[in-house]
Amino acid sequence: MKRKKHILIGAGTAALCALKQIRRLNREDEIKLVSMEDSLPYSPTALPYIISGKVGVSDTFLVSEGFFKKLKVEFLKNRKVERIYGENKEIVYDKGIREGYDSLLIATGSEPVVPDIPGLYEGEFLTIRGIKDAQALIEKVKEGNSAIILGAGLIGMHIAQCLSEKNMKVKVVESLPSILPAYFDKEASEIIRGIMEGKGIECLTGKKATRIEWKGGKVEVNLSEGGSVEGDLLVVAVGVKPRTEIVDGSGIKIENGGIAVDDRMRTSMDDVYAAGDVASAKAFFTGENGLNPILPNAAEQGRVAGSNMVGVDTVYEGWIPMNTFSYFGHTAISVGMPFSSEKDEVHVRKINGTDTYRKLIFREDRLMGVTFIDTEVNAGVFNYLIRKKVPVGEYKMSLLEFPRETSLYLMQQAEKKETISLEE
Amino acid sequence: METFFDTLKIEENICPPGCGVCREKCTQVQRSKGKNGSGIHEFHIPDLGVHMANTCNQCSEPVCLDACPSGSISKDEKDGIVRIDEKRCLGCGLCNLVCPYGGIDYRADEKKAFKCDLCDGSPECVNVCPVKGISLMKARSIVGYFHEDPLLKGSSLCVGCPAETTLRFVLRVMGKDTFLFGAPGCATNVINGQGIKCMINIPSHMSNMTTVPSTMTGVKRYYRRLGKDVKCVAFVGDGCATDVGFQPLSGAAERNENIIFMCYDNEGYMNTGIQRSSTTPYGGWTTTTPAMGRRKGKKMASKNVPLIMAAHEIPYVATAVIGYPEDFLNKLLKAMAVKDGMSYIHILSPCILGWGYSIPASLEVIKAAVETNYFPLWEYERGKYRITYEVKNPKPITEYTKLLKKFAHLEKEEIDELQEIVNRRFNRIKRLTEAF
Repeated sequence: MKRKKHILIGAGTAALCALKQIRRLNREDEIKLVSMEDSLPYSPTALPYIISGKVGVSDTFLVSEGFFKKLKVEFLKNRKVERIYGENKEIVYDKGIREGYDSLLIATGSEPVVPDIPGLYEGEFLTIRGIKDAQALIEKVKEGNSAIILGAGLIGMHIAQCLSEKNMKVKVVESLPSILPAYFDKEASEIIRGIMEGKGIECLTGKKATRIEWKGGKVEVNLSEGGSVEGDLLVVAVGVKPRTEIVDGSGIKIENGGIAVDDRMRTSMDDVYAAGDVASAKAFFTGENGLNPILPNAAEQGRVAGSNMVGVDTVYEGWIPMNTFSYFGHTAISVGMPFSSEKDEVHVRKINGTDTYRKLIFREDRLMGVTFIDTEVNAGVFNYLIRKKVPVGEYKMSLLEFPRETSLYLMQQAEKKETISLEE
Repeated sequence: METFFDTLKIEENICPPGCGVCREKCTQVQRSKGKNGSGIHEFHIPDLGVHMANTCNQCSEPVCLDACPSGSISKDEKDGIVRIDEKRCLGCGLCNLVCPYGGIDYRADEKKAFKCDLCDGSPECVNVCPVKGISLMKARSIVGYFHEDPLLKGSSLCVGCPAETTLRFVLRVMGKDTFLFGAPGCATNVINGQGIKCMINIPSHMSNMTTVPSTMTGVKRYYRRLGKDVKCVAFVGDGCATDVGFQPLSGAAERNENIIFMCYDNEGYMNTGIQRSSTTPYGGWTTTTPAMGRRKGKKMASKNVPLIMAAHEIPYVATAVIGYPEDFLNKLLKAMAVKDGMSYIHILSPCILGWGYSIPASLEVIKAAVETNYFPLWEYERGKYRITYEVKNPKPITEYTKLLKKFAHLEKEEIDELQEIVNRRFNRIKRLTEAF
């Protein structure tokens, strides 16, 4: 059999998982990983921890140098792929060099969204996506100084926490009415906000930045409904968008701002796959394509793409929204649908005198989503119950009372059933 | 890369209510290593009568590893243990979020993930569990002996037939320089191929039922003359080994030919329509020993062939089942090491169709046969008898017969008789182990 050449563009979780999967299934094929950065692969998820000083940069590399040698993978650093020519099955690097492929994976990830705010570009603001961004921020951290963060999403709040722990005064500006609006409902978000504000982080929600003024090393952000905040540095963390410029002019279909893929992670071009933050892939609940730029999905999509690239037909089940946020010794977890609709049954439990909050969303006898604050659970088990559509009918109240125990019990029962389901 | 490693197995719902001894022990062990946490957790839901425990499965392809943003989770290639590098752990909780089996704990207060490290190979929780509900499944010690699987995909045995698993296991352990012999029977299609399809990747030969040992004798002697050490292995059913082909088997044993003869005993002629054989047990239903009216299956006890083979005083005789692979492995290794005579291994291999049980229950049936002493695991090695797997609390024979439709018609009288046969035979082996 002819050896095939697989080129993987990007060096994040999706590309690495695809790479490992290809090697798992095929020991012969040629694999090439192209990174536009000059470091070993790392995950943007680790950046806030670099900023907080918990780990050094070299401690966050996903794999070591030896990894590529062992798996017989060529790792190209500092190279950018400019264009894809699908008809010739060729890519063009930044210096005009062409290279043919048998299968191609686009896993270029995402980049920060920079909103169009008057005055923003007149000064030096920061975004957090690469190691260099993190290092730039570290240099600007100074005890007693104040920082303004635009965006109260997971990255924004995480950076807020890091800077606050470095004894900076932090103000977060969010245009939506609550913090962490994508993953937590109003009530949960208020609990988290309470803790954050208790630690001195000011959360200005429901306020848009209308104008940014830079004067003498200070930055002033004018807000809608009047008023303004002043700080020593400005971090923009309003969200991320797929990094898709690589497919410009190639004819590969774009939707929702990402590269459209089918349930085998194939793009509209033959033998070109996409996975991770860059892909607009099938959602588990709706079956429709959409973006969900989180690490666990990138890993799963990478594995599916890798299998299909070597001809092992594998179907992607779809992504489920999920995230976990730890802040000042507390944890907030959201798995599945964070918000309920009219046809859902919702159970909420709060425990007086604590910040504990549990919300379970059911549709008939299926679990659809959970939110836990300061509740000790094995979160992945809920992901299992949702994904496997495990009937939980008579256990709803038990799941609310004893979430960890009941979920483990249901998971073990379902696993047992799965192993003997051959019978029917 | 091998993907079989040791893992902890926890029996389902047998924990004593309120017990947390495993967790306490683990915490203590971890503390001695300077760590804070436990890799195993009990969980009790008294209202539902649930008393269980949970730990990491040490997955062969761990999703936690892929989801770790700092690359601090690794799977050891030697011992297969999935470990967290504490120094690099960010404490982000993503591993806890993706593990579907609840194998990783996340501690917000310490900003650390924590999981079972299998005590680097000898888990202490196994020793302290008051109900012996935790055991270490040692796939690694077996897989270490595995060679490439010579049995190709798509064998034509019935779905779920343990004979296939058994043959695969045997051949993987045997490795290179193995010549396989078969006779008409269930495994014929695997050994001989079907139509133009070949299903095995090593030399093999089909003989008549009555000529397997004599053919093996010739092939073995031929290779010996060439100066090659080739393992001549027979894998035949009880019809061939204990009925039709018993005389030449006995003859080869008497001549002490250097062959390895294995009988997969499914207690009947399953391939030709489930007729009785001499190993069909007392009371067992077959199409020729029906259960209708006053007729209640086979009237006489089965022929105790392994014991008869031991009476030939050949170097090695054993009974084995695929349900106890470590025991089986040791016996195969001993049989392979014999270079001066014959080895005989008698394998109990349930038949889904002929015995009447559901496909996934093969191992359950095999284990019940051993745990009731219906099929004791013993060996005879150069004059010495030894029970290789001692059943601590033998279960009544009904625990075995209730699983099988072929015993469904038995009433108390026949059950008692069967129990009597089982006891008598086990005691005989027991006495032999003491006598010799």
